[in-house]
Amino acid sequence: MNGMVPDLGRARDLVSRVRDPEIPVLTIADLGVLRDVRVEGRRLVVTITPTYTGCPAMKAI
Amino acid sequence: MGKPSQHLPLWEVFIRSKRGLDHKHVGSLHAADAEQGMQYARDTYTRRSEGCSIWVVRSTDVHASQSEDSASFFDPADDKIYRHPTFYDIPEDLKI
Amino acid sequence: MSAPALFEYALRLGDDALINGQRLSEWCGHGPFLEEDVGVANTALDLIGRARLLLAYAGTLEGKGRDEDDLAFTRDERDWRNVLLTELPKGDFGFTTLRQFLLDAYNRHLYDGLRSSKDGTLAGIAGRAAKECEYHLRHSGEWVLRLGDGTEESQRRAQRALDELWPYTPELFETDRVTEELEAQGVAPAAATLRTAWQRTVETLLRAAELTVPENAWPQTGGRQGMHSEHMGFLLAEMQFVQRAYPGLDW
Repeated sequence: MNGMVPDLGRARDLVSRVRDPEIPVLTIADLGVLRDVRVEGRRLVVTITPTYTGCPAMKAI
Repeated sequence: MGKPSQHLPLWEVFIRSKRGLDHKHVGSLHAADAEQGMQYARDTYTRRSEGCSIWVVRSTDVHASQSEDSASFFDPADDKIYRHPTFYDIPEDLKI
Repeated sequence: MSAPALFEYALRLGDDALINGQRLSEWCGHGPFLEEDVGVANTALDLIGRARLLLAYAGTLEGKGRDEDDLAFTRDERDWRNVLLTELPKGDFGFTTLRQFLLDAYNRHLYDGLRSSKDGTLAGIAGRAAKECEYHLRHSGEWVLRLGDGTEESQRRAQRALDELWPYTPELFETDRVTEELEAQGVAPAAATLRTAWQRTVETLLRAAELTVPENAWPQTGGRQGMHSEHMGFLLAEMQFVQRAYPGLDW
C-alpha cells in the first residue's frame, strides 16, 4: 500500500466485517467495539473500544 | 425466483404480555419472512414470560411522524379547549 | 414392570436429549446470524432441561444414589444409551438442520405417545416436552423447506446431509427386551406406530422441500447397547472435563 492514499469507504467496509474472536456470529461493528475509521495522510487509523475494561480478546481484535 | 438476496429484511417486534392490554415495542430483528420473524421474536423476546401475543411488522411498513412536523401536527390542539371534555358541565342528576 | 427396564428406558431418553443438546449447543456464538444463533441455543437449552428431568428420574429408579449430574458427568462411553444419530459431529448448518429435523419429528411423536404412559412420571415429563417438540419441529421443518427449496448450494448441501444421515434413522425404532416389556405394560408407545407416524411426517416435508428421500441403506446401530461411534469419546471428554478434573465441584 506504499504511496497510495487509502480508500476510506472500502476500508470502513472491510474493518466493520472483522468478526469477534469469541463470538464469530457477530462483527466488531455489531458489538460497538469499532468506533471510528479515518485517514491520516497515507495511514488508516482505526479506533476500537473494549466491551469492558478487562476484555481479553482486545489483543486478538 | 429472482436472485437470492444477501440481506434479511428488518422487522419491528411488538409484544403484549399476559397481564397487558396493548402491544409494546420491544426491539427489532432480521428475518426472511413473517413466520421466521415470529419464531425469532418468540426466542429472543419471550424467554421469561408466558401467554403473550406477538406482532412483527416490516420496518419499512412503519411510518413515523417527523420531528420537524411536530409543530404543525401537535401544537394547535392546546388552545382548542372544546376538544377536551372538561369544558362541559355535567347535569347534577347525571353525576355517577 | 421391572425397575431395571424402566431405568434403562429413562436412561435412553435422557441420553438422547443430552447428547443432542450438547451437539446443538456447539453452535452457540457460531450461528449463521444472530437470531438463528439464539433460536438454536434455545432448542439446546430445552433439550438439556429435558435431559435433567429424565436422568434425575433414571437415578431414582436405579436406587444407587446417583443423581442427574453423576449420570451426565461420570459415566464412561460404554454406559451411554443414546442413538448414534445424536452424537454425530455438527457438520455444516445443513447437516445440523437435517439431523435436528429427523430427531424433532421423532420426538414429536414419541412424547405425544408418552403423554398417555402408564408411568405417571414419564407422562408428566412428556406433557411438558410435547409442547417444546411441536415448536422445535416447526423451527427445523421451516429451515429444511428453506434450504431444500432454496439456492442450488443449499439444496446440494441439504441433500448430501440427508443422504449421510438416513442410515442412522432405523435405530430410532429398534426393539429389544426393554421396549417389548414396556410396550406391553403401556409405558412406552409402540415402536411400529412411531415409525409409521415419523415416516409420514418426514417424507411429506422432504418432498415439499424438493429433497429426495434416500434409499434404505445398511442401518447403523449399537448406541442402545453402549457401542458408540468414534465421535462419542471426544464429545464426552469435552462435556465431562471440568467435573472429572475437579470431582464434586459446585458452582
